[in-house]
Amino acid sequence: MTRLVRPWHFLAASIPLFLLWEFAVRQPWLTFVAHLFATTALVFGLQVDVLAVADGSIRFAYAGAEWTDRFGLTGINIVAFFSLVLATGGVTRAQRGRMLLLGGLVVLGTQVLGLWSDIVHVHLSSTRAGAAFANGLRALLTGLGTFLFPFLVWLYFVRRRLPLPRARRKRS
Amino acid sequence: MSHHRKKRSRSVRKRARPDPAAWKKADRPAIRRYLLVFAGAAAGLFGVYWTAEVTGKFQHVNLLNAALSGAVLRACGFPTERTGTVLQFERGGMEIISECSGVYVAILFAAAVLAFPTSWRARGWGLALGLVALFAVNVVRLVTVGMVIAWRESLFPLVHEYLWQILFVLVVALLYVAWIEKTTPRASPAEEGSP
Repeated sequence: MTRLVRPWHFLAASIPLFLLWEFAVRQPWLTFVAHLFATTALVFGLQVDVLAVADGSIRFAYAGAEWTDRFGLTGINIVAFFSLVLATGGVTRAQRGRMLLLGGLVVLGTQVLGLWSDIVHVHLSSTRAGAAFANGLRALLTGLGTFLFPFLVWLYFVRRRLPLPRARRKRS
Repeated sequence: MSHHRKKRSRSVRKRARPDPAAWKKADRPAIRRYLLVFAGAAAGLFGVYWTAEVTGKFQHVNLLNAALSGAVLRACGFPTERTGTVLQFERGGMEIISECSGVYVAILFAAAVLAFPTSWRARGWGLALGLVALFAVNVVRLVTVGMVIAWRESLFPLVHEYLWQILFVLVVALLYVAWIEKTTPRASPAEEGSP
C-alpha cells in the first residue's frame, strides 16, 4: 500500500505528457476517437459524419443535426490515466506496460462511449424529459466519466494492493 | 552452527511467503464487491447531484464557490466584482458553473470511500475531511484560474484544463490512499500482493 501513488512522479510525468497532449497529440487523438466513434455508429447502421476537429472540439453531423462537442476536456483523461500509472509505485516495467496498454484501450473505449451520448441526445432532444435524460447521460459519461473511468481502471489494476480483506477483518 | 542458522532462517522465510493463487482466490469476492459498490455508489451519487442540478438547488454550491473565490481573489489583491456566480476582473471574467464546483471529483472520492470495506465511523470522518479538502482545493483552483484570467487570459485553457482534468485525479488518488492507510492496519509481509 505504501507508495502506491508517488506525487512527484505524477507531476514529473503529467507535465510533459500534458504538453505533448496540448501541442502534438490532442488533434490526432481526437480525430482518431471521432472516426472510431463514427465507425462504431456505422456498425449499428447509423451514419455519423465527422465535419471538423479543431481546438479540442469535434463537429459532428447526424440525422440532419450538427453539433460541436468540446471533447478535448474529456479526452485529456487519457493523460491523467497515463500519469497515474506512471506514478504507481511497486510495479514492474512489464506490469506498468500492461497497465498502460490495456488501461489505455479501456479509457479509449469509455471516450467512444461518451460520444454515443451525443447520438442519444439527438434522438431524445425533441421532448423536454428526453432532453433532460440525455443531458444527464452526457454529464454522467463525459463529465463524471472524465474522472471516474481513469480512476476506476487504475483501481482495477492496483486492486491487489488495496488491503480489502484486511480491512474487512478489522471491521469484523 | 552458522550453517544451521542459515538453514533455519530460510525455512522461516518459506513459511512466511504467501500462496499467491490461494490469496487471489480468497480475495476475488472482496475485490468484485468493492468495484461494484464503487461504480454503484458513483452512479447513485451522480443521480443525487443531477436531481439537485435540474431542480436548481445545486446553484447554492456555485454561489458559495463564487463568493469564496471572489473573497480570496480580493484578499490577494485582485480587484474582483461578483454578480451571482459571475466573477468580473479588470480584464476578463469567469462564470462558475456546476462543472467548476468539483462535484465530479467529490462524487468520485465519496464513492471510493463508501465502497471500501471499513466501519461507518471511518467512512464518516473520511468523507468529512476528504470532501472539505476537495472543496478547499477546488477554491484554490478557481482562484488560480481567476488570477490567470486577470493576468493573461490566453493561458486560461492551459491552466484550466491541466488543473481541473489532470491534477484533481492526483489529489483524489492521494487523499484516498492516505485515508485507506489511516483506516487499515499495516500489512504483514505475507499479505503484501502485487498488481
